[in-house]
Amino acid sequence: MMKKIREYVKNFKTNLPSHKSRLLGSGARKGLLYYIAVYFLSITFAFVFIYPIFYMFMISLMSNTDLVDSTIMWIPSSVYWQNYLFAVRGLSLDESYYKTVILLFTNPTELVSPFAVELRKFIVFALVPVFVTLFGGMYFKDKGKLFGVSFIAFLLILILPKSYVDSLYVSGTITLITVISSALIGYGLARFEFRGKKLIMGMMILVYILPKTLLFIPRAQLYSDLGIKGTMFALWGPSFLGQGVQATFFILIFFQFFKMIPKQIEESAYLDGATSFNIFIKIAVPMAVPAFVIAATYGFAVNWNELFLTNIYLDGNIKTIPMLLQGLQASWGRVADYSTNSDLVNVDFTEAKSFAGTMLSIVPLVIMYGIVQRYFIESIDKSGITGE
Amino acid sequence: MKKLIEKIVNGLKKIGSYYFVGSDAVIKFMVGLLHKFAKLLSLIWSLVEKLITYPPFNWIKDVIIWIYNHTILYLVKYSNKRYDNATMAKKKAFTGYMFLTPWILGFFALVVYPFGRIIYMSLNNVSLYQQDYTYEWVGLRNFQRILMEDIDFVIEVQNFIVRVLLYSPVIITLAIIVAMLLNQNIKGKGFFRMIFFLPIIILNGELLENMSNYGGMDISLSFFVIDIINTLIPEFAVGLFVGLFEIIIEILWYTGLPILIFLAMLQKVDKSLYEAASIDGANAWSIFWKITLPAIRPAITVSIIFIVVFLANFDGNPINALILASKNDGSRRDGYASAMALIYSFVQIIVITILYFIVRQRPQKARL
Repeated sequence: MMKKIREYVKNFKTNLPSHKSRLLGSGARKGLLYYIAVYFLSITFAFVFIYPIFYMFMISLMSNTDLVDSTIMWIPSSVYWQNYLFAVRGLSLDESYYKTVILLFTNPTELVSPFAVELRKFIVFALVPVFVTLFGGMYFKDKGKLFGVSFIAFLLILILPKSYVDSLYVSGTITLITVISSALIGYGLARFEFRGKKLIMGMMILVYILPKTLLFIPRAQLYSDLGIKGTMFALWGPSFLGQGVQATFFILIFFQFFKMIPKQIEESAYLDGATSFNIFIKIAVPMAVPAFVIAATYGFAVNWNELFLTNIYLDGNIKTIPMLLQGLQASWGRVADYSTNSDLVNVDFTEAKSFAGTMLSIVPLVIMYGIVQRYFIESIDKSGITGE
Repeated sequence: MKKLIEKIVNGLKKIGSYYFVGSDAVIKFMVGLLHKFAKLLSLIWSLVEKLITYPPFNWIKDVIIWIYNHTILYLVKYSNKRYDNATMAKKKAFTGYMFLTPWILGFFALVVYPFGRIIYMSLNNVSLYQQDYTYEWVGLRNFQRILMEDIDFVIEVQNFIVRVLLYSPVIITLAIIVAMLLNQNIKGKGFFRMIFFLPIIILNGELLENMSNYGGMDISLSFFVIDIINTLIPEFAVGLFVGLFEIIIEILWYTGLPILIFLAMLQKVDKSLYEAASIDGANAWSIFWKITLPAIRPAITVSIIFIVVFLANFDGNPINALILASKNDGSRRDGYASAMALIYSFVQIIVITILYFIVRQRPQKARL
């Protein structure tokens, strides 16, 4: 051992250049210091990004006595799950969706929201397997598998908590419509030459810049004149007409992707007798899968988190998770247990309860992100997401 | 079952092709409709016919046939002929318009019309009584009240402008740094990406409000560290430093999409440029300023616009809440809220224009 060290010291001067290159890197090879710096910065940033979630989770496990105890910063003295219990009740997650379905067909007068709204919701979910089979059949050969998977998804929806299902209904349908209409509009802009295209693009960006607070008053009037305020049509309509949340952004993404398709493919298909719609369905869509992944993921998240428009247009007929989270403190008296034999110190509304609710509200999004993140990140790699 | 599904698919395809081939199919479809209409007319006609074939009225028949030939039939023939004679480019342009019909319709129905209406409303005192709106013309009184008498909105707008102007450079800088980190070839790249894109998915106003209310959004430096820094640097600078740490997470959470944009842009940069530069003896610092930054320059403009729009539309933005509250406020109502919204969008457009002219790519002068 001593011998080795002595040899090392002795040869240190002659080996100095190699040590130096190992540390600082030479040519294309990166040095050790570089890796240390990159990892240090990445880990620091990652920590700062993840810190609030970690903090929220830790606080949400504390009882009220822990919260006021100044010696407890991070780790609660004992894990207090009751916060989550109350938050589940506050966000009305304790009731499965199938109970509402049963009510719908047996005793519609006891429904919380109007009958038509509930019926439409059920029909949409029931038609999911049919539509997946129909439209998926264009791209995948195994229709039976498609039907099976989507039917299992439908059964899963039935046992999910009611407010999750409501949120899924709102954001899922809006995202679907937005993505379809954005793809059509982006395709029209990217593949065809016509007069006024520049004007339309300019108007699109202007519409994008305008804040959503600008037009909501007359739009709400318009919808109530048309009689669709308080139903999902008030959100579906604008989405289909290219005026949904962040729709311009998606249109530009699709525009970028469809522009990259070589003209020759389209022309040869056209000569073989394909119509423009067939070209769109059979050639353009399969070539723009990354754009669909990005738009669907981001659109779903944006619509799930949307609070302003759902508050105004839905009239409380459908309550999404963010709306319930907003009213969590106000509805606390209804869900908390103030009877004498309960733990009265820990019953009051504190940040622990609020954080428990917040954690529950992001759970579906995190699960979805966990499933699609691989494709999402891959898609970003393939994309030129930026517009010119 | 299979046959049924195929039938439905074929039917849907047919409907789709009717709409999207645009052009001849659509026109034929319309012609069909017109002919159906004509058939209906002829049914009625056959009833009337008996009445008017006799001498005193028989001229009416001729007149009606003449009108039909010279209006509906003429239009149908004319449009068919025009479409058949059109060049390929014109046919394609027509199909392009067909693809864009949803947007054009939406633009007129949901942007132009409401915009005109909101201007009218902002000049009125609007009151709602049992689903009926009554308008009372007040001219520019609403604007006067907002800008000169009430102070809440003006203060919020000032805060908004300051916040945007301060946040956006920091957001852009941090986004470029993180995007460059993610672009390095290191282990665990996927993991870091997953974390950095997480805020894009879960960020919403309610979440952010909850967290900033209860102190989840600031990493507080310990007093020990602050004391050490205090001995080294004057106090106001420390205040700035600590202040930055209080909002750093909020700012970092806004960087999600800009990071994505920059990353996509960085991956497009030609690798051989870097190699050529390093062979010529450029160090990392000058490579960044001379190659990387010019390459991602367009993305900065896009990100700036995105950030301002995002900050303005964000649910946590107090101006949105203020406008919504004013709409329901008894002394203010819709007219006042409309005026507010108009001023707000005007301010936002000005802010975006200023930022755009600051960051836009100027024509490069040749350097020696």
